[in-house]
Amino acid sequence: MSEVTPNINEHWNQLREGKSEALSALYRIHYVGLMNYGFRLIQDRDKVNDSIISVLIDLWNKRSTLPEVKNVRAYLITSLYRRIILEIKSDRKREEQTEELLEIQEQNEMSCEDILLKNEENREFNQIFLKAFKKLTERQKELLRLKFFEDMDYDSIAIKCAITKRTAYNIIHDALKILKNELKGADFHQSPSSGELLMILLISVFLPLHG
Amino acid sequence: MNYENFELEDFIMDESFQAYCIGNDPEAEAFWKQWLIAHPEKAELLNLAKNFYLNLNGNLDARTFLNHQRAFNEAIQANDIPVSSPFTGGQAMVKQMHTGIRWAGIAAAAILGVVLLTFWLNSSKKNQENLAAKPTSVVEDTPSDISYTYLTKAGEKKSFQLPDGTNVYLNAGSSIKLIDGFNKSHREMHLVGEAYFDVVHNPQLPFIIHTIEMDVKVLGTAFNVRAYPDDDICETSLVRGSVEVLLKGMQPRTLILKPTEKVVVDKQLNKLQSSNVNTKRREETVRTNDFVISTLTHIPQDNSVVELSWIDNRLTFSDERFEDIARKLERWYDISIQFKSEEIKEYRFTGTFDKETIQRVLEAMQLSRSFHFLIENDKKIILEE
Repeated sequence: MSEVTPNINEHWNQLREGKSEALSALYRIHYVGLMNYGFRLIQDRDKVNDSIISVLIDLWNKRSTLPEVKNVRAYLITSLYRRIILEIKSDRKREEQTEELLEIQEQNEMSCEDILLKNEENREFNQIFLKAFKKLTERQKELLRLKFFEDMDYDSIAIKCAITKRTAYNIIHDALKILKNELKGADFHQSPSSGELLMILLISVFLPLHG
Repeated sequence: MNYENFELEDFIMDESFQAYCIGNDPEAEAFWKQWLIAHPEKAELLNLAKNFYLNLNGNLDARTFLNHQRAFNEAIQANDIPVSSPFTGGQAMVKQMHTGIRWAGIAAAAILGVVLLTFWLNSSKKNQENLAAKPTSVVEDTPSDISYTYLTKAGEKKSFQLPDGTNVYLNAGSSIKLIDGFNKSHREMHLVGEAYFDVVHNPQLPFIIHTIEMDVKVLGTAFNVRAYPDDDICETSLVRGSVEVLLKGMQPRTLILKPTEKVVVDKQLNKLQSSNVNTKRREETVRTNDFVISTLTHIPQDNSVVELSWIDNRLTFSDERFEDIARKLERWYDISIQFKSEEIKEYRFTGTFDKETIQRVLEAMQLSRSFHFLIENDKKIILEE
């Protein structure tokens, strides 16, 4: 298994020691995980980013009192959740709406397919991809979501799914292979097997070389 | 790590490759850009792996990350959090990551490989001024299976002759790999970056260039192909003769270019076509298609062609956005450029430069639009209002 879990605690401890570089390292390393977690709560990436930034700056401001943590990602996710709920509540206060506020929590939980549907760019590829994705088992979809959308490491996936790291790795590897083979039938190019694609080329115009 | 034997799924599962797709690890980015130039035949596979991965990660691509990171950096500044340098801050940290160290080692090894190759090419250039590049033999699976790769680093150009006699000018940060059996059973190659070809006529063996966005097929003709993976556009410009271009993508289309025409594929527009993302820039480009055919652009003063000016060592922009020009400058001068203002990215410039320093080029541009620049260590340039 080539996977190595980065020792993220290192940055956490540097942050506690007051090293500001650790802040940008935490931002970069946890960007995908936090962004996609927040996206499940509010479907506005820029707002999620603002919330992530607020969380990190808040951590910086109270760096001297930060606890030692085992799972930095989990700590950041919890902080981000609180922050986003706070933002949503404030927004609603501003709009002077007094509806119930608490059902925000997991109501926006997205299904495995939703992670693909939400992509706006490259829609054509996206749709073919979705078709192939639907052929996977629920287990395979779940693990792809945990690995790539939630950006979890294999240790966390193994614990969450009660399987070994090796099994998690193999399921993901197999799922990607199935996707690849499903997509091979679709009409887009993969590695260039020279003749194949060019068969459809018309006959070139015959022109003598200049000079 | 032997990436040469990697399958699509192996790339997708590789953490360093993921970081390259997102753009959140400068070391990984540098490594994969170099790797791509050293392996132009893998360009399409990597592009597909990237599309795969982005579909799975919620489409968090490098563009999205860069914009978000800018907001992060601004917030850091606004809150008076000390940062060592806008450039080194992030990069220094990567080296402290465990994975970072691993990758740094591999990247260093790969870059060393490239440096050695180019050094070798350079030394031959010194001996023979005009016949700069000779093919570098790379022994692959079997000893008899030899393939040829030509490459240039940033700030460097080469001219050379292929085994069939075709003359090639290779622009900076580019590579060509001849497919096995070149000039025997076919004349096919992979290109990453930009090259000008003056093709020797041979109807038995059509001359075919593969790039990520298009394949170009010719019999005997002169033309320029520009296919940098990190550019927004990919284009083929025809000087004389005739070429067929196969535009890849979801609906492959074939078209034939006439002399002095070019076909331009807008990769970003291609992607954004069906989306509702509307930056100012997109609104300016009102097109229904993801490609256009237009005529080559001439410089009024001497009627030379903008698309080919790089061959004569002339740096040319023709009503281009500052952000796109910056990417050209980075390759041309082997520097890195950072914008501290969104607004100036949209400034447009037209100009031609003969062997000027980067300082002189920027000074000349300042005469047209007002902006400031700062050159750090001859390598990094910061642009602001």
